[in-house]
Amino acid sequence: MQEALKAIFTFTFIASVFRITTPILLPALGGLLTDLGGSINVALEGMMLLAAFTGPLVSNRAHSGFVGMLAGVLVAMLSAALLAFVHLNLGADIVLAGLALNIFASGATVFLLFKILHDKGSTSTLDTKKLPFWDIPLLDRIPGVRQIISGQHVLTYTAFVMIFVVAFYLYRTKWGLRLRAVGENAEAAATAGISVVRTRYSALILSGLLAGLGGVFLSMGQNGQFVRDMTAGRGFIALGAVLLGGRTPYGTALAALLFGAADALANQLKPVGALQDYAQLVSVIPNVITIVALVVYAQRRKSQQASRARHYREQQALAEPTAPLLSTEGD
Amino acid sequence: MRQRAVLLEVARVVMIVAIALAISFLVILVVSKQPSEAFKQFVTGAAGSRNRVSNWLVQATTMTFTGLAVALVFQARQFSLGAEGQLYLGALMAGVMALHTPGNAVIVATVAIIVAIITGFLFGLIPGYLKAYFGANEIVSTLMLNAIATAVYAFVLVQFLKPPRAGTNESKPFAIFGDTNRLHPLIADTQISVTALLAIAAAIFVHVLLYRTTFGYGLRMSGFNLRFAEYGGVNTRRTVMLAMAISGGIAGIAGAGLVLGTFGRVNAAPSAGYGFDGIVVALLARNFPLAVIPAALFYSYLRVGADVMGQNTDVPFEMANVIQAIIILLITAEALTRWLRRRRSGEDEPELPPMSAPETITSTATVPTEAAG
Repeated sequence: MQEALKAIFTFTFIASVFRITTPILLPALGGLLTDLGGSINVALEGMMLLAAFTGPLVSNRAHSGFVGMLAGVLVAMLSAALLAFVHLNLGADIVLAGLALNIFASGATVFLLFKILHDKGSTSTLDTKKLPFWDIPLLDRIPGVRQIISGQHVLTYTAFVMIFVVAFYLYRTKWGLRLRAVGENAEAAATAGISVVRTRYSALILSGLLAGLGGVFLSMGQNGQFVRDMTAGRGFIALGAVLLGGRTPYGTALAALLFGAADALANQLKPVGALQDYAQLVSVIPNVITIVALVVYAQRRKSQQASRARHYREQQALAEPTAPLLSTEGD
Repeated sequence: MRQRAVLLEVARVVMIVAIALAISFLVILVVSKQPSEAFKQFVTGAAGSRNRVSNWLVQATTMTFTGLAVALVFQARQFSLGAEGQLYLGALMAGVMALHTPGNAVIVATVAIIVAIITGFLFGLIPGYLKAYFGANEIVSTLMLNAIATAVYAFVLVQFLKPPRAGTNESKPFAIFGDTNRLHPLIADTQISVTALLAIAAAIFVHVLLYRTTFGYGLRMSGFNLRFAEYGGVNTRRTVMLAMAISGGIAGIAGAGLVLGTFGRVNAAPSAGYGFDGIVVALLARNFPLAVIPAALFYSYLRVGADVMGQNTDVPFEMANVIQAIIILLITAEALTRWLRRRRSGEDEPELPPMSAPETITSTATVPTEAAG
């Protein structure tokens, strides 16, 4: 037990939380966009997997990690566009179509891996490029900060910057406003002249971009190789993070960090003798938290709707004597 | 009119399957150095030997259970994806019973299957209860519960069921069932056991439940329009919850069938995605319980064929996943139905409601963000 506690209260542990959070945070932000736009993306998992697979292979051919990353992200975005097409143009249910994309990604990556490398497990036999870890000038001289913040992976920095980018996009740009309007009431938004289809297309494709970055991190970050089904449910955990975070960028980020911490904890417990056996159970802590979060979130939403309805009724009641019909139009 | 609608549905499914197979043949043609051999193995492989036919029918049995489990919740328009986890826990509890219950083989098997049903029922009750009474999104909750179920399965197996110094992660064989350690086969030298009959019984049960009982009527009504059902006097919460729980019970039998009839012990991973195969099967059957059986027979035939192809040729069996994905995509694409409808029946609208696209999901996602705003 003490060993475990000692392992937790170190700078390396905190640094590992940030690292482990990265491939949850990126898809979670993508999931947030689609969720707010009203088309839940259950295919984050598959998009990550496709990107994780494409990145290292292209980096090998192009001799460049950056090109590999771009290719991976592009493939994820293309798959997102395909999902959007099937859902928005062909009328397929988004959940089933998303599920189909996950199944496709899981099968197609292994299929191609075998056809290209004659290996069904991983790309370990291939010389693939990684993306770099960055030391931040000045910060890398402060003890503590050096271990935690500096020297992280470039995509870890990207992920945390993305929190603010997504927040800005959602609340400070007209596209963000449209996205939220479409998610809140698609018919009203359409009446106001917003193209629901185009808005949801862009939300899904952007979620592909973010999920793709998350996938590339898995295979070109610390690991440097693609392993079959390496996403291991992170895309689903990411969806949980969106709901736990109350469907806001900062909330989602905090939830992702919480999940990252639980994962990091499970990793720390694995080598500790007596607790080793329980690592399996610790690793599902995020799943349990997510279920609790679903309930809490649904409850909160219900009370919000109730209070909003009350507010609306009160306003109507107040306004009635003077302007009976038009009074509520201004809000 | 109704007959015509059914024919239209059948035509649609056949067309989609044909497209999916055509695409897979194209893929084989591109990637394989021995395409004709790969085709042959894929299409005829499952019927190639007694062993493979046994494998085919055993898989069809499992997929009938998971297909029924999925069809039942889809009829209520609930997107419960929890069959995989329910299957795991059903398998686990059936295995524990088979290892530790006293009595003769028949009693032990009966107890094991009943316990598996109860386990699956209770595990399905969790997301059902959370959805019905708290509004917790069932897609995410069931996916989370699947991960929890597999973790619990692995934990119990390694901690309690695995003999202390065993090298592999599996329990002792079920000695109670004699030399083979499995349920007595219905046909000699196969693994086709009484669970195949149970699968047929389950399909009839679900059919009767859905189309001959008040509960089933309320369930389908809830799936058709939740508010309408509520106004019509259906206790929709209870109905939704029970639909998910009963579905769990059926998935539980699939798990029991796998450990008792196929593996003869609690092994490391009883299911390779049978829960998700159940989704394809339910979609192929358009959520009609009796159509689940032929759908499962057909789909498992493809799966086993892909396996045979993977073993004997240079085309990996993951091909099957690709086909699975294409089938789901095409079946759920409503525009395809409209296109076919125009071609076949002019202006007429078929009487069958589209079953595949519940709107409750997006209602989860279309909730106002800023309460204060």
